[in-house]
Amino acid sequence: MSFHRSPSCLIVRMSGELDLSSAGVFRDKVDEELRRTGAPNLILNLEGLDFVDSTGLGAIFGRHRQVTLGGGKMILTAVPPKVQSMLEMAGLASVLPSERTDRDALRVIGSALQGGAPR
Amino acid sequence: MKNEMRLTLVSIPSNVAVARIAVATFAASQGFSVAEIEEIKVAVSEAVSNSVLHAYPDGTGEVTVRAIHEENESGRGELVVEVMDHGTGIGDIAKAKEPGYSTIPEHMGLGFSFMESFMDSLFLESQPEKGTLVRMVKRQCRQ
Repeated sequence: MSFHRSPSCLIVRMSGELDLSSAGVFRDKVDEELRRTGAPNLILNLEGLDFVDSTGLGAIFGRHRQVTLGGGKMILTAVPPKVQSMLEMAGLASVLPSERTDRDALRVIGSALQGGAPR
Repeated sequence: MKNEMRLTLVSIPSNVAVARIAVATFAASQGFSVAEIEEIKVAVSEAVSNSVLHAYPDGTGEVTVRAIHEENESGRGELVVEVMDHGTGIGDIAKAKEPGYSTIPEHMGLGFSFMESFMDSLFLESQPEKGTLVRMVKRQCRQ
């Protein structure tokens, strides 16, 4: 897992497996990084995610709740097909927005920011 | 020919991966496809996670994972996976299997749904203070 920063957005590149042994670390690290940077928005790049189970999906969905409660937006990017099918089975595919690339997600977040800016 | 693997683990989170990798390796050695193995991995992960999370609320205990590969009556290979603990047991099995039901925050309550979706059959037996047995079967597409 690696962290990258763009204006108003934290980008997390996932790697390896997200299950019961790693979900807690994932949650704590991402939440801490969101607090530290003050970034309201989160991009989770799942390209390097080799394995996820329902515990891992719960941790991903938990970050979505965290970010949206704070008024921000969370977008998944580069979702591998097998993760996509699990998101669909879990009923999360329609709840968690996703884009093909980080750049696409940044564009969506950027235009949302512009649209929401005071005139 | 019948083949069998048995593994007893301490109920700690890092052993969830040990269990699923062991069963995945066993399934691969028996000729299961990559797609089938991915599904088996999720199912094993869910069953073992349940034991780690719920079986021993006051500490740790044993979780035994057994995988058996044999041919059924029609000559088709099938993998039986059993995950067994000697913990508190499940009070209300119907409730536990309900999609979305979980007693832990940030957990989806989808473990049994995933086991049912990814395997061809699921059998669950539990007795209070005796433990829980999950038996799942995956039929092999390719021979």
